[in-house]
Amino acid sequence: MASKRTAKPVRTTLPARQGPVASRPVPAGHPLRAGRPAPRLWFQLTTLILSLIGLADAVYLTIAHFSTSTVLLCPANSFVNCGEVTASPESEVFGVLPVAVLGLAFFVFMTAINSPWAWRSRQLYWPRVASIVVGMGFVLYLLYAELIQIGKLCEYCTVVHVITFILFVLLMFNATSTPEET
Amino acid sequence: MGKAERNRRQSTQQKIAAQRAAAKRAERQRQLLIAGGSVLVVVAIVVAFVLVKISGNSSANSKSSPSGTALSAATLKDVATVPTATLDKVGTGTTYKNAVQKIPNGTPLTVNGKPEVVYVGALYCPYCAAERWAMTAALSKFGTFSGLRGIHSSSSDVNPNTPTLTYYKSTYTSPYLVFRSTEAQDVNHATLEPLTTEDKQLMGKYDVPPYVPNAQDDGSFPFVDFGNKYVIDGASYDPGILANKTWAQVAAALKDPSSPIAKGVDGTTNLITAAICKLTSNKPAHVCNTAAVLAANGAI
Repeated sequence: MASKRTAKPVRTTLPARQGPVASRPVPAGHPLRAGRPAPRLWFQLTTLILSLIGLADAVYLTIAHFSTSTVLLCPANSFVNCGEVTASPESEVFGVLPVAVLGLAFFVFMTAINSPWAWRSRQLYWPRVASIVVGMGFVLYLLYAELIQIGKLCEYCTVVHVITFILFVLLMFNATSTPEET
Repeated sequence: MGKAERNRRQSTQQKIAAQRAAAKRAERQRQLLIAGGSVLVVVAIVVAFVLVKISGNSSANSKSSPSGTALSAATLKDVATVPTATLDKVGTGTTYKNAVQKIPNGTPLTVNGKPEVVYVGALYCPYCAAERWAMTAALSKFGTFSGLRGIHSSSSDVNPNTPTLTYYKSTYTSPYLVFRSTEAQDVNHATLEPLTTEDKQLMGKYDVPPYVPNAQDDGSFPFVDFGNKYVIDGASYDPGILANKTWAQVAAALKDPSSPIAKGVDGTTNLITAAICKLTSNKPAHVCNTAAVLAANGAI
């Protein structure tokens, strides 16, 4: 009886070729995985709220980037200094594209893709995973730039980095979990 | 259907169920490994960055001494005696606009009747490193330094390893003014010379907005108060022009008005000299009545 109850999730099994005995679990990465049901509402809302916080922070950092003049000062509190980070040469990719604007675009996308409406779409499964992996990779680069190249830490950037990391953890475990787990 | 047939079918179903459960467990373990592994990789990279940062700081710590390196007499002479003709040619050079800011209605700062110039900086700070060359060149026109030694700014900051002089354990005498310096932190940000009460009072007034751009920059280095008449908050030129130069090379370049170093350092020297001349009532005349200083008056 117990085996009949747990054999319920039809969407994670490939179509039977030789009757019910031949049905088998869908491997991770199989296209049918994209047909998995949306995670529970609390999970959707958590990712949405985190994305919104990241978006608000990214808006602030974008404003700060364009309004902070380059200051040739060494702060008395030497390690934590947002002004020096957001006005540093490393705050622009190839000296043209501000990192803050990239962060803003990222969180606009994350907010949209983590909305309950977007969670219902099967086509957004892989874009969501791919974007958070790329985002996490970029955060690691930015952390390198802050700690090693600039030698300063921006507290507002750190908030963005932590939020991206939490989203990364959530979305990675969601992406690799079986549907009944989320 | 016979009992034996039922038992056989039941047994087959149980086996299949067990196989499926085992496959599911294996799949879940694999999934957990992928997700957990990727998170662990991220955490490991972050930890590596932090360790590199910490070890970078400690290696800088082992290499540098706050006392610095003895400089050759020729280097010290080059800094102290930048030719007037060179200074005249450079003018304000490549100095930043409003590098020297006027303090409106400041109470004159004096010691024993002489105007006082107060410098607060830090050895790690590349902007202080840039400013010290010009400070030293300008002050040498009004008095004499002794005990100046060579150091480099922090290797882990912007403009790493900027060559400069240190005022730590140096002395300065002048018939025209009193110069007092505080090197607040060493190259690793450790306290070197604690701020004096006067330092704190002056920085509380003139190292805050509007003299610095943001409240977050309160108490920043370098800070130079010229008798409460003028103030410098930050570097007056780009420290990048000093990159990869030796102390002797920087000092020698001060004589060449076409060199980028002279345009930055000598230009700042002229601004500082002009500010000091305002305190000393244009004494001595041979320093304050030069074309360079007269030109710099318009920029402070």
